Amino acid sequence: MKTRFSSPIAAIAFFVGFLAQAEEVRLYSERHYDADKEVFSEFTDKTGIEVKVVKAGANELIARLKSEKNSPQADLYITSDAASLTKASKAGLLAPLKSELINAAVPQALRGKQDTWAAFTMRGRILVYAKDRVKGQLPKSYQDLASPEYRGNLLIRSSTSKYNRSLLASIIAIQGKAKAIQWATGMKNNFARPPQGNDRDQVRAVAKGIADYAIVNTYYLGLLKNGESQEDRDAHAAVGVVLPTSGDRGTHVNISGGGIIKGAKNSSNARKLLEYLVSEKVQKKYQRLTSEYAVSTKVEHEPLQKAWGEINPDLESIHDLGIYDQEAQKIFNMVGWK
Amino acid sequence: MVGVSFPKRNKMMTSPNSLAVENLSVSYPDSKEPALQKVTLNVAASSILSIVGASGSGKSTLLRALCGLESPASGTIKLGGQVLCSSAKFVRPDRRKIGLVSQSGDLFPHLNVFQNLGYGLTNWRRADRKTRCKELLEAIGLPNFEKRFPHELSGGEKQRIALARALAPRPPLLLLDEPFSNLDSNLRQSLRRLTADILRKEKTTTIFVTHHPEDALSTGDSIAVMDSGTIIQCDTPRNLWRNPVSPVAASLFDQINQLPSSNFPNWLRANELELVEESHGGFTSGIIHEIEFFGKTQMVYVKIQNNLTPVIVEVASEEKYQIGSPISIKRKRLKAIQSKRLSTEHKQGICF
Amino acid sequence: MFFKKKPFHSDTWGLRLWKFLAWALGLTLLAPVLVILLSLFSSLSPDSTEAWQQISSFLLKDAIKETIILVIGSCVVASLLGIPAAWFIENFDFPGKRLLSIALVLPLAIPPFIAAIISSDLREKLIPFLIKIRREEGVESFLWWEEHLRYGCLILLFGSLLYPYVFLAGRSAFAGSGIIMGEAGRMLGRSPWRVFSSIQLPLARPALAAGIFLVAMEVINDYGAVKHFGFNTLTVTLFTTWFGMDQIETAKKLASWILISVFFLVALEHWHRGRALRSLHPEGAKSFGSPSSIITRIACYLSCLVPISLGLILPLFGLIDWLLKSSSIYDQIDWEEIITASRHTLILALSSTVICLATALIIIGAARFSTNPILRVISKFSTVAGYACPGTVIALGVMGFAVALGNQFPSESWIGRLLVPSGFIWLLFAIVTRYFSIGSQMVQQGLARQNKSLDQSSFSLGKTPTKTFFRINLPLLKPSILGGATLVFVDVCKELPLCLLLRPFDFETLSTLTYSKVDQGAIYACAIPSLFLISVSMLGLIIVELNGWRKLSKTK
Repeated sequence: MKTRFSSPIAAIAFFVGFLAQAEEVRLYSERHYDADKEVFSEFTDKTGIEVKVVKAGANELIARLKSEKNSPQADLYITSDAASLTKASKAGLLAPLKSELINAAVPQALRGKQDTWAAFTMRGRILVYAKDRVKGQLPKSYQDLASPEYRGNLLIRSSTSKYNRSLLASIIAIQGKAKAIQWATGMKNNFARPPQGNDRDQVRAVAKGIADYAIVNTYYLGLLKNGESQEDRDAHAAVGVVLPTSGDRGTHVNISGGGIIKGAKNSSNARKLLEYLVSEKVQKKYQRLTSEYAVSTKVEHEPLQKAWGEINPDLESIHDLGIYDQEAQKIFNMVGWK
Repeated sequence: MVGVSFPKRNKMMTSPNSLAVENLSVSYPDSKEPALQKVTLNVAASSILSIVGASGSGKSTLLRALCGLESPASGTIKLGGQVLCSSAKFVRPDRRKIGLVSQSGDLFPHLNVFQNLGYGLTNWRRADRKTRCKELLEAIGLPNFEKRFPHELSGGEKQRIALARALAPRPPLLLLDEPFSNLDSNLRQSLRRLTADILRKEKTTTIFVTHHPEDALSTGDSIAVMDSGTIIQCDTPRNLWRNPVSPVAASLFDQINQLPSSNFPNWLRANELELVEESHGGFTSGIIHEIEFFGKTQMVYVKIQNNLTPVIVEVASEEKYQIGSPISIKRKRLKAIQSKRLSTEHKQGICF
Repeated sequence: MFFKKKPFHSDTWGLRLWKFLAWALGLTLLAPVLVILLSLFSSLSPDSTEAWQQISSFLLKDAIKETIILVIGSCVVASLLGIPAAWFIENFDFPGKRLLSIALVLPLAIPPFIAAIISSDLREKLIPFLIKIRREEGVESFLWWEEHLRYGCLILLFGSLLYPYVFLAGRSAFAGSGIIMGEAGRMLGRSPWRVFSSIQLPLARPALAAGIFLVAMEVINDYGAVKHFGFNTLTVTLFTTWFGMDQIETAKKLASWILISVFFLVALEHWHRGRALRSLHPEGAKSFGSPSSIITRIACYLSCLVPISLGLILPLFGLIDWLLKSSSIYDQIDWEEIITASRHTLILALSSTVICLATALIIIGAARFSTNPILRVISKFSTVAGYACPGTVIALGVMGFAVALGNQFPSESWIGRLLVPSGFIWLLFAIVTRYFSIGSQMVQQGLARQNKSLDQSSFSLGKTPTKTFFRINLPLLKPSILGGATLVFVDVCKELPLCLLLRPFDFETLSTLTYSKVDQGAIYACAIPSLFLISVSMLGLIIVELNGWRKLSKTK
């Protein structure tokens, strides 16, 4: 019977095929932006490494990683929440990055302790207000928004959103639990309606006039500006931006980042991809396509981002986001912020 | 056709289609009274036994027990010498070769007449099936009906096909459970004759349950009267008519009057009484309460003073009576109607 | 039954195997419910106890209140839309009746979640009114109005999409005995309205109760639409406890309480239904004919067109509007994603339909030929399990069952991998458990219409119960099976919460895809998956209605 190797051409083809098979990196990612697709295909063009992505929620991914601990099926874990990365790292699922490039490009505050993960984009959770209705003094901090003068005038999405959880977690880190409870209660009392919809819905609602203020992610502003419909673009044009401070720290930010999975088959390819993501070119691309902030301080912000103001990101709290995550959830339940 | 002679007992017992039921008792778990109490009956080969009885007398239970759809508490059933049911053995319904025609015919709606008739003939060769089918359809007077479907048939046609279907596999025993109840009386009459004809031709042993007395009297070689789960009388039609063993048995065939008088037996048929003028002295008198005209005869209801239920007297249709006028009742025949001393077999409710 | 209480040796081998299968399947279907009920009595770890306290002290009361308001409101609206339409369709003949009666059923094809998103555009029209209130009457009044308008919109939405359950129940109820009684009433000199209110409606109440109950269950079960409107019903709370807080034990306890209250509802409905007189289904039942006065004629059309506009035309317009708006991003649409999701939806729907119907036939068929009371109870209860349990509760039960079972086998073995808690098999199990009752109710009704004497004739002609089932009962059940299969198929296509909770890794269905797209804010991009979903469902419903699955008394 003829075997695969009976003819030399077949042998070479098989060998090449085998080689070609090796050049891939498998991703477990929570992100689902079209920009990623573009970035990944450019990566493949440049390096010849194919990128295979499986998308799912953060918790699902972590559960999956745990169950695959003995034989990891993926190489790189990407998520949009520092808390998830901390969780994955604590569970022993990530291996040290060991990359000089990454260390140089990403500030230490945005890298995992023990070098297990690194951020490649940043998004702020900021305040928008109705430009034509709000005259006079604008609130300066998140804590200002909890005061009774804003009753019935505030919009924000549900507490199930990880972005809100991380915001509250950062406030617990900065001001302690008691003050955080006070803040959450104050915020809840100011809701113009019980939380519903996503950030985009909050901005649209402000534009329509349901309330004057809303807390949203910077990413959504970019989405609206380049939005699908005229209404979206109008909504974006109708609001102004405030970059609030938090206590004695700056604006609350959260990150998208990745970590190499422990025991991954293609860990070197994974490292290459992560390095690619934090490279200046790609950082600039993300700023343009998704309005996320670059992590590297060397990269200049896009005009749209500059228009929002000079951001002073609260990088100190990033590592605390994972620590106070559960606590934040409890406080949400307690004050009735659904 | 009705006059039959009964073969001697021992010959009966070994014939391939004779039925022997002994001490059959069936009870339902949720009722105190047993549905069948020690019923014993023998049906001669190729004969027709009619069973009559009021609702709840146990007729259907008996049929179901014969079919194997009820499990008896005790007793045996033997068909042609083969034990179908006993304390040691129980043959499944689909293995007993007993045909069943129910009140609603139950033709399979999604099969045509040929498929219905051939349903029980799956082991036969196709040619044989076709022949048998043709034969049966001719016998019931519906030739060339093979391709029709049940919803295209009238009530009478459906019952005929149901009968043919049950007869198709040539079962040794056939059970007919009030098959003509849903039909009008003319249709019933013609189907009655047709059925009896076919059964004789096929030589099938038949049990024919009905609550129409004329069906039972005209069709059966013998009749069994059931009441409260037992057979209270089993005899030829003529004997049964002449000598019913109790008012219950009599009331199944005719209108009777129950009279608690000491002068004469406690029940009399309506046509054993006559009406006379008060002066002529009948045994009792009363006022005419109501008159029902039936064409051939009339029924006059007479209210006797010390009795609440009116006495019913059958009179000729030409005679004229007035409601409200006083009248006297007289017995027509001098011969007393008494229960004949029946043989012990009959007394115990055993047939033959 | 084959025969009553006889020694074991008298069953055929086929029947014995069949009964065994029925037992096994029936118990399996009950397993998730039992798992949840067990957690009523289990004690929680300190971690979970704290979580449970959190939920019971802060979240439970509101959750219950919101659930009750939404359920009652939706049932009322659904009844107001469904009952008049059913009455006019059954009692009168008017041109276009056939078309209207098909259209009246189609809102069932639209998942409430998608309708909720479509409605946000409409609801924004209410905003100027709200702003006026705020300006003139102050913030408190604004908040009050805002909340009540939201309740109103969601209740209207649920009522408009779910009224077909009441409509269909009403059709069965008003046909048959309803008309005869109505004629008797007319002869006695009462006007049609009096006849309706004093004779037909009371007679129809039990059947209508069944339809209304289905509406209530759908509302309790819903996750996507309710969440989108900002309400936190029991189901949403369960979701967030499980997914958001990662507290499975606590979620199970919450689920067990939900189960008890739902069982209470079921008992109520069954008791109510049991008091019904047996319906007559007379063959000769006719309608009142053409409507006599112009007012009646108008009423006929109005009663049909209002529900159709609210539940069908409005959402479809919204969807088409979306499609047009999304045309600008056609090139950005990830077709592969949509096709994969469609494939998954199809696989899920087809396999669950087949399993549901096959299981229903096995269990109900076995109960028909057996006198064992326990088998009948199991047959009845396995129906109730999916009927009465909210989907999230079932998902939890299945998960608990899966984890317990999976722990018995090493994870590397082939059986370990097959039974892994995140496997497709468990999603299938949960879906089958949830939707089993729809298929089995149809099968049960169809089988009940077949007289037992039909079976007995077959026995007398020498066929065993198994052969009888395949040659007689099954062919006559074809309309019921088709009807049940279509309903199950349509419902599985629309299913969201179960798919979100139990889906295997990287397994998107059309509904979960739409949900995630909305979550990301890419609203218009989900127009196309939504359209796929709704078209498939509608096609199924139209097929079933055209075949007149309702009129099952006629065979061939």
